[in-house]
Amino acid sequence: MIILENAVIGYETPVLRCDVSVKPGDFVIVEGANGAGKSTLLKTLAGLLEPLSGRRTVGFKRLGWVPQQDAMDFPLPINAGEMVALGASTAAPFWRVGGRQTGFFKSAVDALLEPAWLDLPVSQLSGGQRQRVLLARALAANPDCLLLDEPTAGVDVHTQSVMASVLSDFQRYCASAVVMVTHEPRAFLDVANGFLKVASGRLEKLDVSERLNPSLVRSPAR
Amino acid sequence: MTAALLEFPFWRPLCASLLLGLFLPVFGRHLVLGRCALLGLAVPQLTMTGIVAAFTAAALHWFPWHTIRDESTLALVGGLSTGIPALLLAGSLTVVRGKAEHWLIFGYLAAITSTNLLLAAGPVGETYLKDLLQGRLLLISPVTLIVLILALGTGVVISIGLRQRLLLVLTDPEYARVAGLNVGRWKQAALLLDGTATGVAVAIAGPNVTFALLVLPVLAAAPFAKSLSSHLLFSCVLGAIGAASGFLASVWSDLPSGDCVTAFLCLLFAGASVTKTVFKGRHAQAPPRE
Repeated sequence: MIILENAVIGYETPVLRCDVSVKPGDFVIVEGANGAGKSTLLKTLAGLLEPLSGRRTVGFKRLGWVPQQDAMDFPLPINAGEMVALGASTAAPFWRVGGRQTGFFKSAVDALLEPAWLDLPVSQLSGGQRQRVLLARALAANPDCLLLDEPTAGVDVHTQSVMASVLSDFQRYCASAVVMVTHEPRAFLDVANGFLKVASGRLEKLDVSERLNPSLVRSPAR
Repeated sequence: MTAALLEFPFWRPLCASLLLGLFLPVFGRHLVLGRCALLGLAVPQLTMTGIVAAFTAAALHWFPWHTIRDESTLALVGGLSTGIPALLLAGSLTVVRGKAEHWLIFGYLAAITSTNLLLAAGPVGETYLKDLLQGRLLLISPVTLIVLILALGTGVVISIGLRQRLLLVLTDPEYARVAGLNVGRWKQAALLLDGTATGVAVAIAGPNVTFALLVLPVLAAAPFAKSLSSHLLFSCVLGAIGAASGFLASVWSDLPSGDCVTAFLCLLFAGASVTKTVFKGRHAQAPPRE
């Protein structure tokens, strides 16, 4: 599990005060306005930022990270297959070239990626395809907790449903945890079992039934 | 023709050019992927300053420099003892401070100025060092060629063996850190390999040739490759073609070998960029397929 206790988080100045715990089997969606501190919270959970005060404890063996697709701007050409292979390599010792996915992780990567994409440079893929490559790369490393930063941004409804299906299987069959920051949670409402809202420098835990009320759900962008 | 080839007196420097052209892009790729290609400009100059300082220290009978009698050994020791720390220091400044450009400009200017001042103040080994500034491939000794093969060959084998970790850490350090890798250590390992290669290359071929071979083939190959592996292959081939052609042109025209190699690499880079732009323009003008 990942626990943030009495944590004050932010880059240099405090952005958010929170107590969070993510356990195996959790599927948590984090919502909030732009600049509220959602990505800062996710980066703190991932260990990319240290809390300004408070404590972060990690019990998971391996974390997986899916960044925003805009962050993927490489100075040299890399194709989708190589990118997934680089992700998989973190599951193997450094002296062994290549990492192999087995069982669920292999089928998840196969479900996310069309074989024809593997040889294409990432820079030539569409936003949705790129997002699927990023998710496949994270899953290829056999993580037991996935942290996703706005994976649905600029992604069509079909891709959202593919991602929801893969993540749902990941959470159920691998007894793993998922924490997702998103503005478009509609495709994931059936699989999520926890909702957090970041507002006014605080983290609110939303009641699941309250969150599932259709009047609270925004329509996806057309 | 065959007799002319057999009598060709420059096989050794030609081999050295080919090796430098084949191997240096492997290290230059680390710098470009880590978004610090300018390190390839500043660090060879700093290494050159270290070599000139080593010559000056030897002339002043400072220990241990005065114990080294041979000029090429002195250059190698001076290059390695400056190149590796310079790259590690510059790399950590780039990573930690995030103000890479300011420090690289400072380092580059400070290095050139110090080199010129040291050479002007006490012209020790002046001929050797001036040859080195112009790229003294023609004068490479058998021992130095062996050192080049061993140092760059070992570095390339290690770089290729550890490529997945190094590439991941350089392309996406955030992902690597979340996955539990020690990003700082792996980046230092990459810089150590690059520093060793730079130190040896500057001591043998001079700072300009080293920078050109580190970075230009890597940038020239980028528009034509579709994957990291094909990019590596293209870079090494372009580096070898540029280095060998430049060296042969220098023999034919009796001009400094280092400058000829650099000029050929610049032509290759410009040619690759123009070709890519022309092809891109043609594709853009082509009517859509039905």
